[in-house]
Amino acid sequence: MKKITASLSIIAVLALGSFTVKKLMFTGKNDIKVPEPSDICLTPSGNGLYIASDEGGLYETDLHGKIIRKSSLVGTDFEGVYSNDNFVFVMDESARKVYKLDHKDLKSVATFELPYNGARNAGFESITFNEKKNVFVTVSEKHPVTIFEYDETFHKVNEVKFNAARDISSATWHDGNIWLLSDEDMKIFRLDPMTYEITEKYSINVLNPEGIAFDKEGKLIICSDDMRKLYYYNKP
Amino acid sequence: MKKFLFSSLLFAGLISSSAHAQVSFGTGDNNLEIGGVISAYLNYRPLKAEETDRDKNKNRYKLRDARFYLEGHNSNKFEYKLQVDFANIGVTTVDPESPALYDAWFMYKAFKPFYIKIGYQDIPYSRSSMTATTKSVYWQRPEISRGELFSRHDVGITLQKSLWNQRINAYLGMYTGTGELFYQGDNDKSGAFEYVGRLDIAYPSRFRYQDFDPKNTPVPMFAIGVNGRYTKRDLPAGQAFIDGESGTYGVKVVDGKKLTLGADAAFQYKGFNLQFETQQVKGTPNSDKDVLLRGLPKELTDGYFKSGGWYGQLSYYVMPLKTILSARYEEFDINDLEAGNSKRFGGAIAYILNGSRTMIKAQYFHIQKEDPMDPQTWKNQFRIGIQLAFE
Repeated sequence: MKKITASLSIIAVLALGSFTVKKLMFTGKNDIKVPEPSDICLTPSGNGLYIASDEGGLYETDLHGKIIRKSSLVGTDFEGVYSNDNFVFVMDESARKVYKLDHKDLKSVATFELPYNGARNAGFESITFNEKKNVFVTVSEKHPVTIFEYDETFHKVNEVKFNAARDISSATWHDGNIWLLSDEDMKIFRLDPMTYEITEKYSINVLNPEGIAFDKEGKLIICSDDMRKLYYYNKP
Repeated sequence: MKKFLFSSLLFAGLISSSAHAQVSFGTGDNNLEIGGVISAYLNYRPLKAEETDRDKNKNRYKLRDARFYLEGHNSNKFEYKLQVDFANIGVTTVDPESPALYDAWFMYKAFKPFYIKIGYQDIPYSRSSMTATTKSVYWQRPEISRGELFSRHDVGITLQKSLWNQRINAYLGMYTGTGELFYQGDNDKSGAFEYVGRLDIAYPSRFRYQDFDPKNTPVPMFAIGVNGRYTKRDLPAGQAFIDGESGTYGVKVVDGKKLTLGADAAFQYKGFNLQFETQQVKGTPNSDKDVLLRGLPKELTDGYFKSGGWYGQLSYYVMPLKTILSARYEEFDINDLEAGNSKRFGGAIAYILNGSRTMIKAQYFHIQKEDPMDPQTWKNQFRIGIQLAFE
């Protein structure tokens, strides 16, 4: 009987452990026309989004997902996008490349190779910039999930294992923190930018979430690939 | 049994932290992946009390998979894959669920209207057959889809089109019809082809070929599929099919017309996954004396027989425990010209170690009713083992 009670207690602890995450307040959603949307980031003006597509395309849309223009750059499998005041950086997962594009015409001005020998379809699904450490950050999707840091010419300077999620589908910088999104676990992780330790966890009810961004007011936007939708949440 | 379980758990624990996906090598637009699947199980099959042949081999340790594959991609223009199962090279009887050769194909993707896949490949027919065992809780598929009613792999050409963000998938194909035995190098003496078509539709998003819900899907998802296949084979006088081509039940190929129609449905929501599928074969042998017509007069048979059945399966993924629980019920009639059919009930449990590809899986089989055409020496069967998939 004691053994049964002990086993049940362990099961209960395990079960309850997974619910110690915060919920976010859902405020709305929009359909998007971008095929197989795989990541999003805010444009420098804050009035629109860049959306990367699995089909190897980059789109600029308004905040509701309406397409404004499309880059002429054709890649293989765009899975991550990050934008600063000067350039847009697009991650081509299977080609292991980062394209640096000019905002003005969305044409590539430089290409960087990021060798990675993991599975073709479990490579880098995200790209962002860690302003505290002044490094680019990419995260391998799974098997294993690893956070990589790169200098401004995309030479690897550091890597950190991340074991808190089955996969990571997107990363972004906001409010002095790194934020990671997990598709399979449907969770968002806020990380300390110096140590990459988790400081907060949130759960979302979105099927196949592949992109995360914050708007100018700090409200959260999630992009779903399978549903081809943008989901909006209040400020975490 | 206890020793096996203990060693399995120890081994699983050791590899769970180090087992990763396959590796890949890239040169810009070209990418080559190396991967594989290793799986083994203990099969415990107590014989019926009345069984006189006390075959000790009924309790066996089986290396189910020792697969190795190379998969190449060139930009979004083409793909190719070669996959061999070393566990089944040289076996005398081909198991259509685990043949020695799984893939040897090339796919051209740059033609906008549809993808073109050529070579030895999975046949796009039956959701259950198209679901890889690495994406299933079970060690064995239901009787209707494990490759004894129709082939699961063959050499041929497939045209494939996906629409609406992969919610709609359509396939058309033409194959040799000899199935898993083709890799011995030739068609059978009929020289005929088999034609296959499938259409599946999912809502509100694409529905992957997987029989459990590892994401605890937050919205209800549905998928339905219909498929058909047809072949007309005319063996020259005095010639026979390739040894084993007709399958365990003798209905896999027919010297004459064979029409197979099937439908499947899947649903998942919040960890629950429901699968249903039915398959029906109508075989019209060229000869009224064909053994498939069971020696009955034409007035009774109208010159044809039917074979087929259905299965339903319900699974639930307990995410906090990384455990999948599943139950399955199935019915199968080998030949409607012989009275009786089989009814089976079973279940499975799987513990996920590392991602959804590395699992300890256990499956239980129970035969409620036997088909007189397929007498078995056992009534209950149990399999437990480990699956490591580097894919």
